[in-house]
Amino acid sequence: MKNRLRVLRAEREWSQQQLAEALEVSRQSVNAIETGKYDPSLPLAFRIADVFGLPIEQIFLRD
Amino acid sequence: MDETCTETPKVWGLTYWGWAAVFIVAMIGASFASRSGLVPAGAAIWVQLAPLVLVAPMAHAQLGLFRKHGVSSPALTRHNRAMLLTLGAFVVCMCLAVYLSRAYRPTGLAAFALALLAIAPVGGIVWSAARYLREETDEFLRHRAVNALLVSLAFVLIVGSLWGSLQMFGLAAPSLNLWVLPAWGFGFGLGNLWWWTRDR
Repeated sequence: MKNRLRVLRAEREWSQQQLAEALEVSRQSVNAIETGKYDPSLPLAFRIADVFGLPIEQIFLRD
Repeated sequence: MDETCTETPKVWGLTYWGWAAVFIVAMIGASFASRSGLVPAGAAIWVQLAPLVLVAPMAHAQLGLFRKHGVSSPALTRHNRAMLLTLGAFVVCMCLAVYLSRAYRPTGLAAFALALLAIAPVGGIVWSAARYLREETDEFLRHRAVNALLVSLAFVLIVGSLWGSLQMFGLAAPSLNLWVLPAWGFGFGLGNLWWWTRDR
């Protein structure tokens, strides 16, 4: 699964650490999701969508 | 890209990798010394247990390394503390059991109780790992820990089966099965190392 996490984060000028704190996860988790090494669960994907204020399908895309 | 700081944390001048190298060398050295007759037979068990004290600075350095790479959570900190305590308890219980066994030469039920005392803290290590998996709220860290535990299980199964098979065909000496716990810990470290390298 692809995602636009890095782009969205860059647009808001957030560091991985800041996003990790907003999501209440480790920075390594944000890095693993951003680089496509780990696909988040549905609850975490919804939390990410809430933090960015976007629908989930605008963040996560099919391969 | 992983946004990390550049300085590698050290404990008493050594990084985690330095402590890991010292620990492995000490384990191999202790095993060699006790099997080659360099130390008296009665002292062999103490020599083999001695390198376990190195686990404390190694674990402390590892926590620093994890923090540097953004791998940190309250549950992980609690788990590492519990693991250190149970490992310390393992060394104390093992030494106490060996001392009591040599001093009083118990038989029957008393010998069985001493044997149980020696390995009782292993239950604490299993409990600590189970509690960590239950308490970890960061799903990626939990996923990583499960995979590292599977690597450690595979490592113990492969080494144990291979050693047993070699023994059956007279190619290896009978071993003290106390290697299982360090091998499990080593396998867990290998699993974490693999994930850490992959996620860099």
